[in-house]
Amino acid sequence: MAGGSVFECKEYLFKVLVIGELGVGKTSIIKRYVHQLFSQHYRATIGVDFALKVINWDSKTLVRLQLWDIAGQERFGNMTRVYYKEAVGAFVVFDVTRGSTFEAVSKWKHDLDSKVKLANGNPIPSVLLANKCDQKKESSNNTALMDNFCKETGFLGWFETSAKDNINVDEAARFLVENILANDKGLPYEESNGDRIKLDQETVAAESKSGCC
Amino acid sequence: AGCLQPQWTTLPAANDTQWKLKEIRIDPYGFERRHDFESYKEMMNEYVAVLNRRSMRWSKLLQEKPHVEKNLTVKRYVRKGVPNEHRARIWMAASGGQERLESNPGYYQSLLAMEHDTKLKETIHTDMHRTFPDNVLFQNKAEPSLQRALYNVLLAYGQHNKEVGYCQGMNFIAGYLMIITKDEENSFWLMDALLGRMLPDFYSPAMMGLKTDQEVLGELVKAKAPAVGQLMAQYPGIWTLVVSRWFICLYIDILPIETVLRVWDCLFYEGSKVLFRVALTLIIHHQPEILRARSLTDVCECFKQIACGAFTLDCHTFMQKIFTEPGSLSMATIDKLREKCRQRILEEESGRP
Repeated sequence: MAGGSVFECKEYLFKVLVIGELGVGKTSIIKRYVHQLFSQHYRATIGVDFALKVINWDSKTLVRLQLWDIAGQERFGNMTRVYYKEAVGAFVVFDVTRGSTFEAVSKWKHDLDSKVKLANGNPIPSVLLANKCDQKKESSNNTALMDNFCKETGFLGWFETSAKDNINVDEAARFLVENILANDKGLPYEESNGDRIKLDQETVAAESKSGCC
Repeated sequence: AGCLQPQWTTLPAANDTQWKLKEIRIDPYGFERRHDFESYKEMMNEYVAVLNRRSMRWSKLLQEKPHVEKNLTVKRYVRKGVPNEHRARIWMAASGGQERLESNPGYYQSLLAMEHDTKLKETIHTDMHRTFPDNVLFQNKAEPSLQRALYNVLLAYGQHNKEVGYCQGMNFIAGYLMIITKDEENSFWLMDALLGRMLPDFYSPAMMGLKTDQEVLGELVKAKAPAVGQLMAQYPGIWTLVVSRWFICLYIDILPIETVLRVWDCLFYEGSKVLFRVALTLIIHHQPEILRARSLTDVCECFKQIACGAFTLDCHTFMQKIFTEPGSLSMATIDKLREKCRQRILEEESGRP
């Protein structure tokens, strides 16, 4: 982004939530995506944390993805609701080896839609991740069922992922970002002189103006 | 270096062969220290003189007065650090855990023998392999493995205090208690002392005490480091983001283990006020760094950094600092702020759709 192209380059900052039951692999997915790493040694996430991923989307678009890793235990949900504000996309994650985590997906989706909406009142785009697919026991074909579930629950789509074996993590992220960009509800801003820090601050200040939910 | 912050640090993929070839460096508590063993060793080489001196003093004190009293001498001794060999005993005595244990014989075992809620069991189970996977004592192949004991303590506590049940963070606390006491029943009664009597309501589903104390810290920072208070005011909800883990985990994985244990010495003897002293010291001491932050990301990164490094690794000096750097901090002030913040939170929550 040097020289004359500076003024044509659009930069986006997208806040994306990663939610789901505890132990489904939210932190692992984020670390795989952001740092290209996997470890069996991650500790349980307490409260909330976030990580940044910068994507050179195309020659004219830079996307900064702020991934919010929200603790899976229900009681943290009440405390972390303020972080749902201004989110423009979400991943809801479940663990294919634990049926109960899939059963909770609707609850998480409903919770998401009740806490945050796009400016036009629509639900924010969300993608369902069926994680730990490397550990899947039977290779039953439930594609049609899952497609149908997504349609009914309001997910844009779903991916079988494995943070461990690096399966579909990038693809799922690309799919979500495509949809966020199509919505064009993120706050785009021209990058001037690479002064991102200042821009970041303005974005956050703009967020804080709208008050607490 | 010297940082025990596993949250977003990069660990190499632990593939088995690599693992075996690697020289494993383990601290006295069972934690593998692949990244900071040298700085830890260096610190301990100096700290050992303090430990020896304190150890002698404590042995003498306990010989003269086997019953641990609450008085200025013991308070001073506790602030200078309880030697590891006496920790379980002092914590049990100071917190009232010992008294409860003695007046409720067999209670812990009876809790384990009861029928347990399936959801409770499942939730605790999910966190088992995520509690100190980098500690050799907690790996399920370890003999004996503390993982089983940890599970029992958490299950018994969930059964004992049904309102709290199990809250993430309790796994780390029970884990540290097991490392120090090496005894399930003692760990259980120390959990009971902490959660039932000493700490505010950090862990129940509403987490009211946690929300309150985060706001209280915000108020204290406004008063004691106004510039930082002003910076933080720009970001709604930021205190939850940067300090909820500090409080929920009682500084486990935030501060180095030796430092955490020293903080806990005071916590068991003096109560939860010390948690504010630690937070305020970290913030006041690092004001210039915090004030350089220009975005939410910067602030969060900075709050991770300020708990790491030489300042917190040198636990003996750090513990002196927490009683001087934040200045006076009366319980009356804290009580008043807690009431004020609690009211504010209740009002905000009742106004929510």
